[in-house]
Amino acid sequence: MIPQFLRQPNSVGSISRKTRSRFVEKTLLSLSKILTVSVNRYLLSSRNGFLQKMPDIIKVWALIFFPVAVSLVNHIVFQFFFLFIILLFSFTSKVNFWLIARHVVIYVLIFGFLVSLPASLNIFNEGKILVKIFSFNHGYHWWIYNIPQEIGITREGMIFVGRMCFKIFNSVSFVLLVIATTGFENTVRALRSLRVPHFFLLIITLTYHYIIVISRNLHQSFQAMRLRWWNSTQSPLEKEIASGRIGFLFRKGWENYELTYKSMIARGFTGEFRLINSNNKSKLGYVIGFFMFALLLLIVYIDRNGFSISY
Amino acid sequence: MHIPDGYLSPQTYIPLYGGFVVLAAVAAKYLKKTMHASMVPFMGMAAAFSFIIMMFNIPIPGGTTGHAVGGGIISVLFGPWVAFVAVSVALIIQAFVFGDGGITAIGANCFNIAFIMPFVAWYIFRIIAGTNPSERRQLVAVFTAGWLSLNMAAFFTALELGIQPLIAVGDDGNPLYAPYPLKIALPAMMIEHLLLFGIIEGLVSVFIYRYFLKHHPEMIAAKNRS
Repeated sequence: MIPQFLRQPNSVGSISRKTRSRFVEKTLLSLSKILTVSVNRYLLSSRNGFLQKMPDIIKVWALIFFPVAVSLVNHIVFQFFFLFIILLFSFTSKVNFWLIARHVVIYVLIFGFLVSLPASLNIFNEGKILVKIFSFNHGYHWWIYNIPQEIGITREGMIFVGRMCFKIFNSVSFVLLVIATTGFENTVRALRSLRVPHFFLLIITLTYHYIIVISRNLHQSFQAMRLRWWNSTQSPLEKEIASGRIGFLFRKGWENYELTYKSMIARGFTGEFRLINSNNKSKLGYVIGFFMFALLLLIVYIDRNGFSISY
Repeated sequence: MHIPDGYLSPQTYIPLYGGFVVLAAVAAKYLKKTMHASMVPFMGMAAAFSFIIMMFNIPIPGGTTGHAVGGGIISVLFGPWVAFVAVSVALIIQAFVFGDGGITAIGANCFNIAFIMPFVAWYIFRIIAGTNPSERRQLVAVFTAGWLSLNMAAFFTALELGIQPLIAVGDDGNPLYAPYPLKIALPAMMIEHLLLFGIIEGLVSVFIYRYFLKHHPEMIAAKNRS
């Protein structure tokens, strides 16, 4: 039997197929992605691949060292080599690299390419002009700013933009690859080796789980509201809805927090935090890990001391 | 405002990592002393709350969207040290799990967004709201706290990026990391944050604060401690 409230006419508006993409819907979309990412990660980490077999501690140290090495190395040749390593790891770990690259490419486009693109002009940094864009009668000087007579894209600027894109792509895709093949709980447990206090690790673990639970709650509540009267709401009402939903998720989160604490007490929590140690996998994994760290150090050393190549 | 990998030199991110470790130790010590163990799941909840606030995209004239950071409002609601831990955890999860914000820049991002922002917001709110404030005054205070705290965080971010061409250059004299000097980085960051993102932050803070004022006024730390 259909309840009375569902038979009442909608006071706000009717649902139409021509719904404009609204900001709350965009938020919903990103929240759905969190759920998808967490499910995919669980599936990938349980596969029988190279990175999945590596000890978690090695992977956590690699999560720190690899991005540091990538940031230190400035020759594009070595950045290509890092990319090759990532592709190799991805292949041997049975991970579809395109799934990771799809996310990373957007990130690189925004933070690597668009942000650093103006730096390829000779307004910001000097260099040999490859492509002339504009020419004035004479150069201009205003306060602390200088505009040269000829504006163009420089060779040094192009190399810089390429390097930034590579650095960001390599760092982010490596981090995503390792996290995808490790599983969140194992990563957090392995963080103990970096001497991160239990207190923080417990909060990180709880937060991750809360995010997934709250995302699901929020997703469901928005879907319910959308089905009821979403289409013709006005902008101020949307803001009310958004603030109401944030408040709602806080209340839901608070309920989760109380339930979590009660279940912790029921399982014997006495106020002391201790995490179970990360599992130690094959000795071969440690040997390979050691070899990889040595290789990274060697690359950084060569890059800093005496490697020269003309582009 | 999240600084990605590749924009900061080791001369910048190593000291900021160090600063973050010290601040985290101080926060842990302070919270252990002042809070019951039951507050640990609460902190997790506050961090998740912070994470989700960052996901609410609000339309900006011109067709794009911007999102609030939430460091200011979380500080006003739960206190600056809770906000520091909550926002730091949210940023660490964003960097490690979702690849947003750099691993090498975690120290810098946590310093700017999780430390500068909550503390500025906390003191601004308390100065403007004073004791026993009216609802209107509280809303003005929370808007200003959100707006100003984001701008202070943006200022420090611009400073960290703007000094890169001074401290890390290649053999040819060109920058190796963030390419824009202070004279470019500071105005570029500050103009958009003063006129646009700061206002979004202030408005989102007001929306959330108004909800708490209406439904859970007893939870607002900055109001109850004044």
